[in-house]
Amino acid sequence: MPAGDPKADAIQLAIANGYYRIGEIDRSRQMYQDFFSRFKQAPADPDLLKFYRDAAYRFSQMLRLSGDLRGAANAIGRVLASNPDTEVARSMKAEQAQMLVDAAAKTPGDDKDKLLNLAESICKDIQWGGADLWFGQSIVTMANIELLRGNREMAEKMLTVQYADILQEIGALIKEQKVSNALNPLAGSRFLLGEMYQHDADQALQDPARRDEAIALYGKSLKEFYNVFVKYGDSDRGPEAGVRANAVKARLESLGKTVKIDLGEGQAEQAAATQFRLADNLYRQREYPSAITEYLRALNAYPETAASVRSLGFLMQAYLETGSPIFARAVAGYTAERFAGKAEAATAVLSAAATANHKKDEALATDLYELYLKYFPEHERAGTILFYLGGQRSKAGDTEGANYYFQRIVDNYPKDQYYPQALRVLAASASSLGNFDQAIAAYTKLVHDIPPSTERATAQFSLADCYVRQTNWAKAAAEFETLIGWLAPKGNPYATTAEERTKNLGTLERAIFQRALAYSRITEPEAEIPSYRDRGMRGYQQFLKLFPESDLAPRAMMGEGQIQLSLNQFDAATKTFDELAEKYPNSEEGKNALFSLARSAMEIGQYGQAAKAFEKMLENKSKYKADEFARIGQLMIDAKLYDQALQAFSIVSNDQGILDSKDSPESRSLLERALFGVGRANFERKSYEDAIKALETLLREYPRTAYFFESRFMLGEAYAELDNIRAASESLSEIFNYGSPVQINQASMKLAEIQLKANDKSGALASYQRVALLSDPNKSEQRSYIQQALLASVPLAIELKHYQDAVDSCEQFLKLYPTSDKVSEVRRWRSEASLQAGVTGGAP
Amino acid sequence: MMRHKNIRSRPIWAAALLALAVQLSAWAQNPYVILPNGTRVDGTEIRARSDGTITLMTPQGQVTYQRGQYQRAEAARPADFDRALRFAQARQYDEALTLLKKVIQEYRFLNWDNQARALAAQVELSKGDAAESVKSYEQLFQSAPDSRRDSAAMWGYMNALLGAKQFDKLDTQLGELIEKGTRTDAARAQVMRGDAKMAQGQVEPAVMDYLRSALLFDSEKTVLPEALFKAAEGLEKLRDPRSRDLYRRVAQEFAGTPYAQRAQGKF
Repeated sequence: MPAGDPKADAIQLAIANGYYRIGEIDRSRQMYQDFFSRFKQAPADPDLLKFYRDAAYRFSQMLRLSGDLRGAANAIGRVLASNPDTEVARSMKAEQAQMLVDAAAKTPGDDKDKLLNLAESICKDIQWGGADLWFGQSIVTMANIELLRGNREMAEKMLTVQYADILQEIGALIKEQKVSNALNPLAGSRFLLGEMYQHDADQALQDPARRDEAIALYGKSLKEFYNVFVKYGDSDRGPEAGVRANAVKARLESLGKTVKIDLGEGQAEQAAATQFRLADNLYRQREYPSAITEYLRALNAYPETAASVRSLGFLMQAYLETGSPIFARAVAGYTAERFAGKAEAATAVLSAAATANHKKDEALATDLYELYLKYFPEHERAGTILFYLGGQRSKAGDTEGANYYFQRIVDNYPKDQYYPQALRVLAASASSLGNFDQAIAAYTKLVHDIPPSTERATAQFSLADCYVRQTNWAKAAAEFETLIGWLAPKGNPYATTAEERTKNLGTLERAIFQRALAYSRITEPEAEIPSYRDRGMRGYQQFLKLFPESDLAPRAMMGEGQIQLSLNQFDAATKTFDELAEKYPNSEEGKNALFSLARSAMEIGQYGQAAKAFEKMLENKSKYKADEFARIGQLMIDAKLYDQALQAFSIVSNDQGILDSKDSPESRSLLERALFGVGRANFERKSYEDAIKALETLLREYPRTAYFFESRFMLGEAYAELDNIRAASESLSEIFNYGSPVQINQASMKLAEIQLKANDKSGALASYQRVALLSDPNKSEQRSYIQQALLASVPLAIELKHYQDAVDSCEQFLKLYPTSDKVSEVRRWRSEASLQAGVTGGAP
Repeated sequence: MMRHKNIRSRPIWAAALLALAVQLSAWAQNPYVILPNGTRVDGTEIRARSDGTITLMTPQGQVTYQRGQYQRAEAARPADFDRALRFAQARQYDEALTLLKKVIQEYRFLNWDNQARALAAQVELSKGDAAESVKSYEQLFQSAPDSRRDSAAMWGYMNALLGAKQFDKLDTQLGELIEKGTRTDAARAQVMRGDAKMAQGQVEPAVMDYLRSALLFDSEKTVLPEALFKAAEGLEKLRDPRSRDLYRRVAQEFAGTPYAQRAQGKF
């Protein structure tokens, strides 16, 4: 890249700054060095020069904060090489000299001398330029140089005698001109004196005879440090002065002295903020162990200030970064309990939770989020966090856990942005689980709480649909009427775009069909039934007129026939079904009129009429295909008319024509359905031996049948009913060889049930453990099996004294199902098993 | 596994309170009534009826105060109360309790009933009957609601709850102190909540409570060694090597305490 492409350079350095902020110091440094390497000398263009100079200074500060003082001094050299104005140059030189001295303090031998000599020459250069702020800084730096050269007396003399007046004058000038006190050279001067006195005190304390002298020196040192800390807290020396002051204070207290330093309320806040800054710097440098030490020191000195609360968040994160989650959790608990309701504390706990998440410690993250929700329920992000947690549980396939969080939004945060979404998810979930009362309550609330929109229309449809599923036809009809009233008028407010209008038209179509269905099914009050049937009939007719090409049209016509059946108009119904077969010959409903009639009769519970239709079919058996008997057999099974089902399926399984061509695909398919149907019908009739006979025939004749798994399950149960446990186990074991994970889980659970029935507890435990250990908890369809298996295996393992297995199962459960209502019970089991495991030395 | 004896064991703790009660016994005085305006009326004899009416014999004659007409009434210190104290000190707890029950019955509305309830609660705890002690404290709080603000009574009550394993009640009390109490009370309450959790086999939550006091209540020197030691013990149970650092701190920074002795050799 050529030098002086400002846009590209700006992007590169912005990235470098980003790396610095996230602690990637080396990458940041490399990018800055690459940038500078493209310039043999400072650029001439004024804008680019300014950019270059700013970059050089920023780089120096980064290096200084990350501990590379020589590198920082060199970077300052680049600023100076760019010919800044005199004032800037003097400030840069002062800073550069101090950096070189600080570097020398950490450097042994000749290198140290070289650094000190270089710093000295810079200081002298500054001093030739006049008596200003930077002159004062250079005096302090020179004193520091003398101290590092071992001339302690000279250093003290420079600060307290030789240049004391001029330093005071500069200090007064700074105050008068309202320049930042952070630049006051007295800060550096007094800090250095504090260091010298502390060093002297440490020396004196080596000799017991000089104890009092040491105490006096510590006192002097403390005075200097505290002055820097309080008066010049913004200076570079401020934070360290605070820490040093506390250390000296502690030393004096250990020597039996009482130190009373009252900073006053305002100054205490300032002092606390200053002290926390040092810890913050360490945290930013990713020096986490040191940051922890400093945060604890600061927090114990200033436990309950605004800065303390913010720092608790960093402390938690530092613990997480050092692999100490239990310490982080302890601090989080403290933060939540002592600062409940405070926004800064909430943010601190949330930041720790986010770090835990980042580290893939989901259990800890959830724990921290729960802590947050308990102690900061009014915080602005509470709803968002609940929705996030619900989403996480949902992704993990834990619907119950997800709903737990969504319900909390609905119950407690009706004004939150996630309220409608949470309500919608809850309603849909309840509906899919068949909890229609819950779903109705949720949809009703949702419809009430949101303005006219496609979402509201959809919610209203779902509400009405829940009543359909409850067979509460009157309510369903009323809700569909409401919806039709919203969507039928032209220009209604439920759609603003063409896409929304199309969507609403689809909703309206289904609503008109469903309204007719609902009216046709209302059964009370009895006196009103004819009126409702009439409305249903008119509803279907309206639907067929409005939507003749709709997929629902054959069903609408079938609906008409059903109404006629319900009014015992068998002949009229037959005519309608004939018309249905004629108009919609390719629809499922139109393929066979008598079959559709029987099916319709069964759907509306007119079993007598269904039997009548079936009898008609039997009277003219030869007119109907085997497939139709197979289908009618299935309908009979669904209607729990097992005797008729057996009769229908037996017609197929005994059909000589089919038996003669049993290997043709068509016959094979029919025979499989019929044999399974015979097995199922006999099983339901508790004719287990006959069921076994049919199913064994099916599996023998067609070992790869699509009914393999269902047949194996049914055989297992049938053998178990006949107490033939071995055959039952063998039948289920076949599933392990070919089944999907879910089928294997189902087989294992069934096997465990059978083993328990036979009092084979060890075998049952092994079956449950197979589910718990071999299933994938990240697959939602497997989670409920794992949960059931774990809950079943723990008491069994405890009973069998397999304590370690019990503990492991409890741990697995608590990790996978942290929101389950069984958590406290599982914890109790874990305690019991842990105790027993400890007593017995583990599992046998 | 060898069980360590709890350092703040019941007899030592209760004995300290009993000693305090004995000191107070020097304060023998005449019966008196404090009126709603704060005026004290001394007498030579005092009686209380079951409806709370007080009759005070004064040099000017007999005066009757209905309930609501006085703030407080107190009889002269009952001899039975002092006898009960002596029995308690001699660890003759049953004898002490018999006398205290008598004082509670005979000195209703005359302050000594509540004093006797407080002492009975301590004696019951010393005797090892924590559940009875809890009852006595609760009766005391019902009879004299102000005693809830008495720190000694509240800590005695919480110790009794801990001993009686009434963890739910204890948790509520401790939670209030931890959230809103002084830092000293919060530090102490966290350690006690840790004890309660440990007693329920919840090692990790217990450790976190101990750690809170150990890490963030550095200035609470009366609680710190115990918190550090118990945090170390808990971490050791969790096989966390940082237990050794905490044992080292106890031994080095709190030399001379019983916890330092127990920490020796563990790091």
